[in-house]
Amino acid sequence: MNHSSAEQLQQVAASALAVGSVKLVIGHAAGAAGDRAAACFVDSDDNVGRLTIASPGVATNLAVYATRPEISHLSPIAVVADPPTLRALVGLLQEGQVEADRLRVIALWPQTAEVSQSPSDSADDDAGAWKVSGSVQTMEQVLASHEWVAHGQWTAAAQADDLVERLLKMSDAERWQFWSAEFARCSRCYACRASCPLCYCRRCVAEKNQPQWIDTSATPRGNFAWNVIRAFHLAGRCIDCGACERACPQGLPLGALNEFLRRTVAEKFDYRAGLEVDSTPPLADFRTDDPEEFIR
Amino acid sequence: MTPLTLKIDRLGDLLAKMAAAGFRIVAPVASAESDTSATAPRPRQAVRFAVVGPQDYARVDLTATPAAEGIKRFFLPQSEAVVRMRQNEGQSAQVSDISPDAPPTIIFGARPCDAAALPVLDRVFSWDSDDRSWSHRRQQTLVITIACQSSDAACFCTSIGGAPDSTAGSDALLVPQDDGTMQVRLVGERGEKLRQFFDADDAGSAAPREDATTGDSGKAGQVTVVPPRFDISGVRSWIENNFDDKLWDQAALACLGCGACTYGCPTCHCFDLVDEGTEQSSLRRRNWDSCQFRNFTEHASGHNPRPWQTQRYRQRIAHKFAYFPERFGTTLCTGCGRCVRVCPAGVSLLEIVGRIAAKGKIEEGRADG
Repeated sequence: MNHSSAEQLQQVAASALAVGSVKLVIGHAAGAAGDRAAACFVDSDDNVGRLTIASPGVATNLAVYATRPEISHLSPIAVVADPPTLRALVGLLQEGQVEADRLRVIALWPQTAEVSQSPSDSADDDAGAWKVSGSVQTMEQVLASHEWVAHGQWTAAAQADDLVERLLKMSDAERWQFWSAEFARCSRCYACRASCPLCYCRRCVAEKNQPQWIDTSATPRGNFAWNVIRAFHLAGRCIDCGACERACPQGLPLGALNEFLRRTVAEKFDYRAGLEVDSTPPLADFRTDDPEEFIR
Repeated sequence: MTPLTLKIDRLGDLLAKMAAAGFRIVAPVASAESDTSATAPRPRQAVRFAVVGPQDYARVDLTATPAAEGIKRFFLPQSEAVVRMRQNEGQSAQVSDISPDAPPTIIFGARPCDAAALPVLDRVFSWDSDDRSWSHRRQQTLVITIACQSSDAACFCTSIGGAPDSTAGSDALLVPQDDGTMQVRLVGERGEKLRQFFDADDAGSAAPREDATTGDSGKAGQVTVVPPRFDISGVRSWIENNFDDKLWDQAALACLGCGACTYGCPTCHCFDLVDEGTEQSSLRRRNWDSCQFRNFTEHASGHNPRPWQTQRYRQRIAHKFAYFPERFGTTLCTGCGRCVRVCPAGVSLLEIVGRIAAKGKIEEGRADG
């Protein structure tokens, strides 16, 4: 690797930390087991050397940390952010979960149409495939950039199109059977929820027990309720990063649920999540001229 | 005693014999639905433990190491009904225990790090009272383990006192040989129950192995080497003396607070009791629970003694490497490394315990000096 993107990233992080324009940089480091990238928190320019650019196929979405109370005393923070991470941050700004003046980013822009997402890639194999923004930026600056226009919708999430097409061709009974078999493996570890930047609720519906909305048991009933309700809560909010599917230790094809919801929201509301801070997600919106009787 | 052997091309016959003797067989099988998980970038669970019948014998896959999935759920089910409650006409209610009812079972093809957890958990499940569900399943189940031929960077059994060919918790250990056969080592009285299923090794093929086999931990056959990752000797005392160390904050920052590590862990055993159903008819279920969840320690008052992820993360490590050893004399970890592999945020228990071990070593040195 010659003068790599990872080194550029380290330089940008080091100078921002040195002048104090950010207090904490949240990025990725090589994982200990040589497989998954590790989330990495750097609070001094002395230890930026661990920062690397992780293959999106082995990394969690770092926007998930922007709402963590553990780091609220450190601000501004800078999140190392590829387009899906930026979209998640847009979602969090849109929903009032992070304050714009406490948030900076070091944007990563894909240089090639297909940045590899092979899980066998080591953490910085893809470093050359990314362009690192020359300095720490505010979200406002990023969203006004031509890179955002060009790459804002880029995703590394595994293509769920084939599976969605197959599911759409199935009868209701076949689809029920398919998801029953998949959800049967769900262990209710909630890694999907924990790794989702938009699943930020301090008290999740899954934990409400007066009344108990969702059975906590890993039984067909409980598992269906959990996975379907989570999908519904992400409708029009999921920014299509694939972090939930990558996190699932049981390999559930959660991307197919997300993709189906994304298509439905696009078709019914002409909306895609995570692109504009000032827009309102369709399911959080209300119109007095709504064509549906029941909602007026 | 004549050594026993298993020819791997006769595996189907072996499983059929066991089934004919009345055993339910659980074995790792290549997933039938693997084509659907093609969308998952990492179909990590392509091989899973399942109850197998004759139609599945050809799918039994003994090559997956480290095992993607453990065997804990066959002893401590993820969700298990323990009490049934019914409201009768009028005022009375009927409350009845549901007895655990597991058929005689052979788990075939477990890995040593998963089997080693069983005697560790026996200690806690027979401690202040006998956990009848656990004991019943333990009694009903024989475990045939296969020594590991490969390992990865997350494996650390040898740093915890285990080995890729350890017999701890197993009733029989299969050791793959160069000629493609498996040497069979029966363990204890329970292991003797399995003798009937294996063939005595015929002369010739066994001879060279006999020389190499020196007792239980002999390295005969194709057993992988798991290098030592840390020296555990100073870990417990460091944890006991450094409850408020900065290390916990640093280590836990990346932790997302899901339960993937605990549910994959062969030794994590916490559970929750919940009542599900209606006022007329309900079940009390025992479900896996995780100390990494925020509501694990939340009191009815709303007070939470572990409100921060740092505290929850420290609890998991300290329970495994200090509190459990203090009470039960053994570490609550077998070094399987599954927690490292499944963590969505790349948090590595191996790395963190390694750091603690290094600090513990320094403190030990100071104390000695």
